[in-house]
Formats: sequence, C-alpha cells, structure tokens
Amino acid sequence: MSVIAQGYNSFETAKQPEGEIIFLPNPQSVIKLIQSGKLRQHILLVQGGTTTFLSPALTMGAIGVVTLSGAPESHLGILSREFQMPCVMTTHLVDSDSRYVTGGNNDAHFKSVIDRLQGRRVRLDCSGVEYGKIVEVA
Amino acid sequence: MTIAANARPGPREEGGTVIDAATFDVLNAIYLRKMAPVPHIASVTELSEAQVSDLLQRELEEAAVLDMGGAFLLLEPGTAKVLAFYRGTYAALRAEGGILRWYDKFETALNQQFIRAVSEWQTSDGDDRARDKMAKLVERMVRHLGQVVDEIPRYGKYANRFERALALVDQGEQDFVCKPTVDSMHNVWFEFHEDILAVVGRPRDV
Repeated sequence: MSVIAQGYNSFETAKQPEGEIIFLPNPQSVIKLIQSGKLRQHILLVQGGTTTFLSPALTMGAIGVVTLSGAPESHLGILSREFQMPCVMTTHLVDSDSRYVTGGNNDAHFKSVIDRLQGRRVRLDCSGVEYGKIVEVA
Repeated sequence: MTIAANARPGPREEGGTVIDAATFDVLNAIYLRKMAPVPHIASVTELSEAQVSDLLQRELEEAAVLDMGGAFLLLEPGTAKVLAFYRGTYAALRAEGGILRWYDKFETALNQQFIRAVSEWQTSDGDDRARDKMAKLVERMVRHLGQVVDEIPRYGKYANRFERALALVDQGEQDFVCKPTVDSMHNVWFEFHEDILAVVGRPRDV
C-alpha cells in the first residue's frame, strides 16, 4: 500500500472508502455507472470541483470522490460535506511535479493524473485537516 | 435595466425540436436539480403532479428522460431540448446585454459571498452567524431577482422558494439551510445558478 496522489481534503472524516477509480467525463457516464448497479464499488474521478452532473451519483450513495481542480468551498466540496462522503480535490500525483494551474491549460496535467488513477484500486484517507490522500491498495 | 420586450419565454424551434413552456418547465426542473422526483417537479413548476406525470410519460416515450424508480434524470435528447429552448427564448436578452451585466453582478456581489457563507456554516458546525449571513444574502438575492422578473417572469418562483426556505430556517428547520435533498436555501441557490448560466449561455460543467 502506498500514497499515489493527494489533494485538498473537503472535510475531516474517519471514513476510508475503498474502490476502483472510474473517470466520469460527462452526464452519460454517470448514468451508465448508476445503471450498472456498481456505483458503490467505485471511487469517482471528475475534472472539475464545480461538476454538477455528479449529483445523481451522490444522491444514489457514492462512497468517495476525487477531483482534478476546485477547492473545498466549491460545489462538490459543499455537497461532499452534506452527504458526509470523503472527497479529495485538486488532486496531484505525489511522484510528479505537475500541478493544476488556475486559468492555465491543464490538459496534459489532467491526462497524466487520469491515466495514472483510472482503474486503480484505492482507499481514500481523509483524516487530515488540510490534505486527503489516495492510497493504492492492490 | 432595459431588456428586449420580445424575450418572453414561449415555444421555440431549434434543431428540429419543439417544446412548449410547460414541457420546458418540467424538463428544466430536472436539468437544474439533475435528478428529480415528481413532487419536486410539481412544486417548483407549480403544475399538478398529474400534469407532470403525463408530460414525463410522453418524454419517457421519446427517450428524453430516464425513470430511476420515481426520480427522473435527463437523457441527451432531453438536455438538448432544454438547452434549445434556452437558446431560442433568451437570444434577444443575451444580445441586448443587460442580462449579462445583471448576471455578472450576481456572480461577483452575491454568489462568491454565499458560497463562502455556506462553507463557513458547514465547517462551524452550524454557527448561527454563518447561517444569518446566508439568510441576509438570500434576502439580497430576492431583491436582485426582482430587477429582472419582468423580463424573466419564472424567476419570481425562485423568490418564492427562497422565501419559503428562509421562513422554515427561521422556524428552526436547519435542513432548509443546506441539505441537498430538500428545497434548502443552498439548493434553490444552486438551481438558480444553473438556470442563469443557461440563460446567458455559459454552461459550467467540465
């Protein structure tokens, strides 16, 4: 087990959800996941902290979310606290210097994080005050 | 603010899709909430549950919506209908420019403060001062809505929903501050934000 990525923690929690990371780029992918009946087997990865199309998944019982941008004050941060669902935001890989830049072209950064995390089995550790960790478990 | 008088909502055609105002209201309620049961749709559209169910049955047959055990999601054709209606109905408003300035004022003078206040309320374990700050911003928001309700009459419904949520919070119903599954102050704010982004043509999802 090792920490492979980290980001801002939307809130402190002892919950440590575990699942396979799935990148959800659009509303269709969210609907497809819900219809598969496997929502709770996954940690959900989205690009934006203001992503709103994730709402049905949160309502249906998503266990954890990882975002590539956004702060704990943004939409998903607010919802994660209401649903008491761990959420790591503006996530970066711990073995890379690549970081999200506000207002910049982040395409390469996003791709590198998605490529690394997609399909990995991880556990979210959101026990820290400021940072949440993504721990690879298998 | 002067806004083109011909910008009233009504039936429009975009890309071969025609929907009337009632169908728009129903589909838009789902578009804004992202997943909505019939009672919520009826409440925010001020249509009867029977009317909503009839409209949704037709939209189910057209594969515009998906029924997830009583809660409805929009499928791509449904989203396309909603956005086409926004484009057609509010093109004149966008061109005139007043609505853009009104929207910018919402973003800079109200929304940023409100989002901060929500986070403060959540992270302070329900501190009264943070809740009161949210309530004051909602009251300002109701006044702000009043500036465009002649041009976008359905925005009067947001003012009504805000006032209902405020009254419930005043009565001690803390769920109506921020809870995502009821018509809380934050939920109404969020749905309005989605709405005005569509009116001005600035979808935010990524």
